[in-house]
Amino acid sequence: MPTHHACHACGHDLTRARAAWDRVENLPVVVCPGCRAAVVRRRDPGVAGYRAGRRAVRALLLIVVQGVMVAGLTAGAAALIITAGTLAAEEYGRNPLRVLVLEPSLLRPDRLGPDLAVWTILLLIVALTAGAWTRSALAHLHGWGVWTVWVGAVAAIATLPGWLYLGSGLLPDPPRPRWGSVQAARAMAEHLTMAFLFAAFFAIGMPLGRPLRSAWEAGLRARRTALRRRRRTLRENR
Amino acid sequence: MTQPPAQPQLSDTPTGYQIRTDRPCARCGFNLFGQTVFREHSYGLIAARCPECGQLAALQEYPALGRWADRWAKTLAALWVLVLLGAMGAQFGPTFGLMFGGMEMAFEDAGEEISLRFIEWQRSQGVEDPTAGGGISPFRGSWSPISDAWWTTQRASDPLATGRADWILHRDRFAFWFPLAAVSFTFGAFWSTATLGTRRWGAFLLPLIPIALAASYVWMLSLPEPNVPGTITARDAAADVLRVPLFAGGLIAVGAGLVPGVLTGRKIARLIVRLALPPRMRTALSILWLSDGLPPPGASRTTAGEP
Repeated sequence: MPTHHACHACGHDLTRARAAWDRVENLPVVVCPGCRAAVVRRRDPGVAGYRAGRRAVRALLLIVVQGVMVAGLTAGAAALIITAGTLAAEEYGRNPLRVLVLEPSLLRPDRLGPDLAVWTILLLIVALTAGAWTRSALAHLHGWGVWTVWVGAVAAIATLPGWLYLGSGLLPDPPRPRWGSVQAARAMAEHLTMAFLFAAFFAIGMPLGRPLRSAWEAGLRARRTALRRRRRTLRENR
Repeated sequence: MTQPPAQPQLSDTPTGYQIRTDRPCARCGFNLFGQTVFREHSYGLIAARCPECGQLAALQEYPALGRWADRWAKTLAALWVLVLLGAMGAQFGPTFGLMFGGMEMAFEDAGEEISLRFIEWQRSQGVEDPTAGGGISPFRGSWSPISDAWWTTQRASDPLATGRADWILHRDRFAFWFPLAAVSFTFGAFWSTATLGTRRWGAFLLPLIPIALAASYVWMLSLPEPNVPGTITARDAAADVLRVPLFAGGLIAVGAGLVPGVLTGRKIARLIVRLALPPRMRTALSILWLSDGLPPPGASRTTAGEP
């Protein structure tokens, strides 16, 4: 049952009056139909506290979801870049782009199998997802700024073992065994090629984000409208 | 014209309080800040009276929710205390492990070196069978027994003195100190954000509890253990020389992480909120801004009176 709300000027019962959200003051305002006085609909402190808590929990959950998605996509992309790049360097002895574009016959099952193609397709799916995510869930940020940071982070993580190996060799007293990975250092060009593919498909995925976001918001609006309609029907039939 | 503040009627009971925040009069909009709060005589309402128009402003506007609101509040407060205690435990674990691990690794490496020097010294003395006559039989390793008397004479000249800086500032020590600083930074940022209602020193106080416990425990474990009379282990001998500088190094690493963590924690939290949430949802976490006296997110930066 709604909390009682009376006009402080004339005492008119405003409980059923619809409150309009004042965007300037950021408050729900009810205009009294009896005396035209504008009053703020303040919620019961208990209800307001519960709703504020729910909003805060929802915001925190969204932060967690964003963190999980960004971390998951970053880690997944880095792992796929390393896997596909190392596979191309060690099994094919060629740049992955060359194998995929110029020599796809090497991917035949009776030769080395389709592993490289599978890993590359997975990487491209991850890149498209990251691009779409940037323009949908992270639409409040500058898209190309996100692209730069994200691609840079993925490329840095994927090539870190190689850089570490190369860098530790430059120390005056190189550690033994050297840091990083010698395989990663050898496959540096292949890893960077896969990172380039990730960057390109990330950019291709970005325009997909806006329609996806619009579709999601339309669905959300439809659900809310249906819920409101159901509540109104229940109230009127009471 | 300034009017004297409205006084409650004689039959009203003053509560001894005043309105200490902004509250406009419902009739004329006058700010009731500073007005006396009293219990109104006819209904027993907690109220104040507008000095401009005489309107009674009932301060208790909503019915209480009953006992469950209070119970929920207490339950949530208890849960929050449990979360903070859990965070202290979570901070204690890695702090202790990394401080102790770094020191113990240094003790073992240096202890092995000391055991070798003791073996060399015994050989230089022409001792063929060390066990003859109740002597000790050292072996290469940090847990090897060495002669207490030999160590006392050696300690004065500090057998590790030539390479002492190398022992302390060895690359392996930083393999523990860097993660220790990173862990301390993370927890410093956490405590800074978790203690929003307190002053900055409050955010330093709580993380110091697990750090103090971890440091005490590490110090206690680094002390020498009882051994065969006249002998100590090479590890204890190394600890004798390296305990203080390595302990200090660990504490410096903790401080180097904790201080910037506490100082920047709230800023980082605000940055994460800004990055992860669209402006509409940031208001739900506006306490991160309001607690530091900053305008809430999404609010206009112009204040009243400014164009």
